[in-house]
Amino acid sequence: MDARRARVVGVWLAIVAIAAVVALRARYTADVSGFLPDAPTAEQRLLVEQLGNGPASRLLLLAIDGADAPTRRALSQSLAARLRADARFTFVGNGELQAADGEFLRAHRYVLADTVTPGRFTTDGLRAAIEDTLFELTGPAGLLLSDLLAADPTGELTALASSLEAGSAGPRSDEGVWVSRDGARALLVARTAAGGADTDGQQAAIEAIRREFATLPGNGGAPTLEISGPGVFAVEARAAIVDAALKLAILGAVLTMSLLLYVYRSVAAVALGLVPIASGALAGVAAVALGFGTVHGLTLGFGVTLIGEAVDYAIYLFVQLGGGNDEAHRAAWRRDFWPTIRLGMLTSICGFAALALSSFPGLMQLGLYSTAGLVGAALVTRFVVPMLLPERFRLRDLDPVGERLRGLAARAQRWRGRAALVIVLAIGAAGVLVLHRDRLWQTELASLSPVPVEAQHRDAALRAELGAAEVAQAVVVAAIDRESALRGAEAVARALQPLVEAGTLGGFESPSRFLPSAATQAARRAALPPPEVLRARLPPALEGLPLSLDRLGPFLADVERARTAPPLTRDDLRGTSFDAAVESLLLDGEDGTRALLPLRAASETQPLALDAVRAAVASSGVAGARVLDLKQETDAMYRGYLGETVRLALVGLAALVVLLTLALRSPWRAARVTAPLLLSVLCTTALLVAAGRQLSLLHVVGLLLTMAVGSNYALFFDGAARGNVALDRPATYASVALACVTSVVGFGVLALADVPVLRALGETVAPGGALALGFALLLAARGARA
Amino acid sequence: MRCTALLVLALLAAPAARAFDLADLMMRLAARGDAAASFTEEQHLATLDRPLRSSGELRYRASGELEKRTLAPRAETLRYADGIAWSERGARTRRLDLSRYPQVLPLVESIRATLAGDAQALTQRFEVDLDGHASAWRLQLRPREAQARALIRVIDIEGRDADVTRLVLERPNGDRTVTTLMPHAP
Repeated sequence: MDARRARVVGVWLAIVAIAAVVALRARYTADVSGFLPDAPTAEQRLLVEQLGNGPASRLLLLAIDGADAPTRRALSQSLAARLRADARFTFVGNGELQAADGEFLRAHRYVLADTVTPGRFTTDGLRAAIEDTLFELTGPAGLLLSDLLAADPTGELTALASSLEAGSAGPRSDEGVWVSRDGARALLVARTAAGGADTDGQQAAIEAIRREFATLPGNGGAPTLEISGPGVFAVEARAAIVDAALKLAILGAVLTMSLLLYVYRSVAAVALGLVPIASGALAGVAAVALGFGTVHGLTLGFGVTLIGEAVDYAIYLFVQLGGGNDEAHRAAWRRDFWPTIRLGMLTSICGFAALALSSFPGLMQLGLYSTAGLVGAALVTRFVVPMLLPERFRLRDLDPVGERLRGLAARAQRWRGRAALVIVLAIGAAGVLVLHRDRLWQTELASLSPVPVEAQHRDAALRAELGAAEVAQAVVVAAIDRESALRGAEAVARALQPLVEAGTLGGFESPSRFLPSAATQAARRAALPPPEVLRARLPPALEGLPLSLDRLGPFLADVERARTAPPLTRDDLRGTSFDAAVESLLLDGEDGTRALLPLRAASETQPLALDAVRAAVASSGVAGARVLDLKQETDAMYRGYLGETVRLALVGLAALVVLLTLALRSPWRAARVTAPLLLSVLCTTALLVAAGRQLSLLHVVGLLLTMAVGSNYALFFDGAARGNVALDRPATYASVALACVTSVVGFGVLALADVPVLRALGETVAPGGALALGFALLLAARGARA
Repeated sequence: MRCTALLVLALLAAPAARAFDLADLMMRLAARGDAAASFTEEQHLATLDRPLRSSGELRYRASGELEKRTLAPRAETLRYADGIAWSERGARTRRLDLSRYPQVLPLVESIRATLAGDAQALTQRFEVDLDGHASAWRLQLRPREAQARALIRVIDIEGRDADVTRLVLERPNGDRTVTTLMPHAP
């Protein structure tokens, strides 16, 4: 015996050591992109980039509430000034016109403005443009324009400014500072230098903003600052997940351990109960590391909860060993109970192995992790734990409890109304599902987001107020280099412009507005006449107008400077707010450059006219141009996974039925065992839906887990009720009840989590496990024993 | 000699008759409701050899909307309400968010708030001086905000009863815009 024990424990320790080495050498990632598909489409790759480190991920939205409008305005101005001086931010916008922006537009107006054409600088063109400018002077902008008249009589700067204003929706302004539509809050945006995936960098930036705001003069404490955006979400989500995982894991462990300690009255048993769990978790990590190379942090998080079933194995062993750990007891357990546990484990694996066939890398990892974990835990329970248990191992005698439970079960199974009750429950649950059939499923990727729905709503509201800050719908031009991307963007912009003028499209942005392609710049420069030509054309152009040539020295100088200047490059934008715009709209990648042209709907209440945009883009003839709807793209991607997961779960269910039919050698018995599982899935789903939940991917995983834990209950009760004398013992009832209570407690704690993915699992498995126990008890067939 | 007598009379009468103050003027203007006038505008700019002239119709509705319909030298209709201006030239409409230009807004607001009899809006933006009496008054508005002071030295508004008859904008650089209004029934 001792030799055998040494051998078994030795083999186990060797395997543990190997698995530990594999697990330690694995790469762990917390990057969202690790959980997304391996070979995404170009659109999905863009999405992943945007989520990870793209400019959109670095944008923080700020709102100042409270106090009165002048106070909020002053706070906005001083906060913006402080943040602009902080190297952690590459751009801060609050609606104030920046001197650097004005300077840039003025200095480069002749290569930036699309009004610069050869015709503009003929005698007739000059005259028409100057007449326009003189008329503009009588309008509301005249006050601003009169000082520019000598340098810009043809009004290029006005044309440029109004085309820029038309491009960006921008928030409402009050006295030059952005405010919400109702005017009750001042709005700002800040782009961080740190990438969105750099959670530490984001946290530092957010803390810097809060610190600056708190110490602003005039902030008497009444005004408050709200910060939103991907960075805030990342920081909060990390905190929430770490917090939830830690707190709930500790709470769950303490509750489960105390319960077990109370029941077992044996510290050794509680401690040994951890052995299968730890071994299973290690086996799972090692399997994922071998299978995928990298292990995702989320897999570990969910996986540990899936191992929740492994706790049950030790419970079954300890309680069912009953009297002691001598060879006779162990042999009896192996003979009477182990086959049932093994069958339960195999049915659980049917569900999880199906997940491993998913094309969602996250679910594949989850499936492999759970399969390996459960097999590992079951084998360790069967072969190793009995070797580690002391010979004179004794638990508190649970037979009285088990006896009472058995009596209860027998009474329930003799109760004539049980069929009626089950039918009523099933019909009721089905009715709930039918009533809610239109909104059973959460079809948006956001449902997996750890960000609370309320925060998502606040963010969306702030985003809407701030205008086109999102790259949700855009035309993407993919090209081999920047110049080609900019040329493509210009061609697409020309095709989109008629839609804007017709009111079909509200507007669009383009990097070429601030950085025209070299070709366009060259064409505009070529349109500028040399000084002697311009000087000769002006007198006839000015004839009869109240403006004379001798006032236009600044104009002649500016045109000549623009005509002979080197081309405008990306570097010339540094220090202006346009730098941030171009950075977010012109993306250099390994396979070339992509230009983004975000689109804006004609009105907020109307969806974007995507079909018209597609037609216009097609007519532009730009080969690399595509219309992208990121929201639709991500949601379609998510719906695809959801549908696939449901199908795979059904495949798993079919495998489970086949397995049970073969193992129990009777389709009828297989049906009797499957029925409680299906009923608990049905009723759990109905409960969730009735409570106002929409089902997500993680609910489906939760339902699989419910079937996994429930299959053991059903198999034990079925065996016991059928007259398997070995199973029809108080220990069976006591162990199953204890396993069920620990599952409900463990997952019930998870249901308290603020993190949707954890809560989804908890709120599914906790009621599901209890219902599975109830249905298994009620439906166990009264066989030979009766 | 007669002049001196009148002056003495006026001085004697002054304490008896209550002075004409901003509240009186604003009350009259507010009571007026809709207003309409034809205008001629002359801009005297240092850069220009001679003044730039334009003319048309100015209309104010008690709902708060200001409309400036320029007829010469060419047609344009400007409508202004709540910080937003809409310009119509032929079929083309353009939106101009004046609230983004805190330098420009006071000019438009000075006219709107005066015609609306909105004393609060006027005193919030400007230091207000009122001279004269009900049948010949003169408001002098000096912007409070530094940004606006860079472009506007003073806005001089003259009127009689509830009608505005003349508006002069003086710039710090000496440029002036003189608008003459001929009120008629709305």
